[in-house]
Amino acid sequence: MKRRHKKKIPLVSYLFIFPALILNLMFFVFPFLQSLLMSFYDWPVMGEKTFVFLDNYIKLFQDAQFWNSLLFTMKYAVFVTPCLFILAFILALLINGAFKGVNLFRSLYFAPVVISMTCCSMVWLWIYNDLYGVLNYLLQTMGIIQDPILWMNSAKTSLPAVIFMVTWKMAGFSMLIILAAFQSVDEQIYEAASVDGADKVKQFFRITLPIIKPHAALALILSVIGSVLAFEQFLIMTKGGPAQDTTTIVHYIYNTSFKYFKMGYGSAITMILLLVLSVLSYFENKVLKDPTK
Amino acid sequence: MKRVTRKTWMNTALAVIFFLPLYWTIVTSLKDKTEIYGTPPTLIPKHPTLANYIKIFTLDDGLYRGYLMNSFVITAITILLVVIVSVLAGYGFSKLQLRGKGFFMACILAAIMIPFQALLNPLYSIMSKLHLLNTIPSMVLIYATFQSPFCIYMMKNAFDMVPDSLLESAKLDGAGAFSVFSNICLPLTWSSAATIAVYAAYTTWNDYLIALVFANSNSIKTFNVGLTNLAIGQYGTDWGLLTSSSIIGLMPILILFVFLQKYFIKGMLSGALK
Repeated sequence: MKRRHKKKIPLVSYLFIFPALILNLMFFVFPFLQSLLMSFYDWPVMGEKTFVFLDNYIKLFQDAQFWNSLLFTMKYAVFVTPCLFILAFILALLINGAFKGVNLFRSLYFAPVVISMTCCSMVWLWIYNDLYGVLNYLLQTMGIIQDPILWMNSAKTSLPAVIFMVTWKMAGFSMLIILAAFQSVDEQIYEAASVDGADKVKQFFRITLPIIKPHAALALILSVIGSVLAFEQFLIMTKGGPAQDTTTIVHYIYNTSFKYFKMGYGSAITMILLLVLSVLSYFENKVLKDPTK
Repeated sequence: MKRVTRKTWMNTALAVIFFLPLYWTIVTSLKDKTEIYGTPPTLIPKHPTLANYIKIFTLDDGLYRGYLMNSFVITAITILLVVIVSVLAGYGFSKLQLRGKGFFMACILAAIMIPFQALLNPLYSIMSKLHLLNTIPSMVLIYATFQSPFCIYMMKNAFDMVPDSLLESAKLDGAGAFSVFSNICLPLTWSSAATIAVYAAYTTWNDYLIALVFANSNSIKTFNVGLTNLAIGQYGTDWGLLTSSSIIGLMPILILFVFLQKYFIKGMLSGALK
């Protein structure tokens, strides 16, 4: 019916997508291709670039600091994700329903999400301050600790401290995703279940949990992706230290490329980051596309 | 009528705990030095003062006033660019016949998958070739490139909801291509346009890494970068100053959130659920 001859598309139509395409080509497609190229070069910011083929990658596999930062980033992701998820789940349960103040509470839990990681890190750095921080004061007053804890002086205390801060900051985001799932459950299913004699606990495990599973998986994956890209919370709170113990992978790329100006080597590390991200993206798409699983 | 239930009380307790860190920062920023470092810490400032706020604005000949201005300017230009680019492209991808549409859309969607963190080095080398290093355009262009894919996607969905029959009848009435776009489609999608504007606002304002890499001179540094410089510099132990500047850094977005919550949440949720 609508079969037309090759209709000439007016040039003005292309003008609509032209700005977007130019941006995409110049600052996404082109850098994406170049990043692969760069990783095969010794590429200082100033001066001659030399083709070194796989040297950067060979160096990478022998670079203890690279492995440390990769492992540390994974460790961070593995610990922060369940903390975030559990708090988000509790929050979603608490604000699911109609009661006085529900909108206000939702906004309050969500507010830290919109604040920059930079400002949140500063806020908590003050709370964690060893001499004047309110946390040490409270713990000492309650008699839990004798001497003030130097929170940022070792990865043993700084990692949990940063995780606590990020959990506070980001829980509201996962909460929204889980809440959307809760609210997609048809009330009639519960009514039918209670008629059949299923109690609240049974309803939760048999009805609610299976239905929210895809949303929960999404919340988990998004928090893993966010954690893999962690940077400013550690830069600001621990400065990556002591002795680069808390340097994340993005932080290491930043140091290599923009502090020591080894752009080629930095690109090789970036390739590993890209690899990790594509695996995660694959899972994200799988979760998004198949809501029954 | 909503009732006050046990949930209200449980939420009240939790919300107070949630708000405490921010409250503590605000309170600290309003205290003088002796009170900040005195024990026991006070929950309400005894002699509230705005000295810490005045100090940050007058420090180093108003350096931080300049940083704040830069943040506002960069955010404003980025919002404008992102909205224009995304609304146009969203309309193009949704309503216009174009050759290679699928391929172009795929290129743009790929940029949602790959965050800018993974392309910092080539971006730096491209900006250096374009002689844009250390300029506001370098930052704005990168922000727009990495924010617009999601915004285009969102605008495309919004334009998809506008029925084609409406466009056809407008064309029969003699409306031109651009007039169909601006007079018929645009008014029906303004809520999505507002959502992407808000998305661009908080993403740009909150960014740290791009600003850190691409703005080196004081004349274009953003407030977030200035804030961390403050923390590692000679004022690193002046917590009155550090808390007041943190509050200044987070306030614009928080105020925006209070008034435009709906758009924040819509943007965040559709970003996650796609």
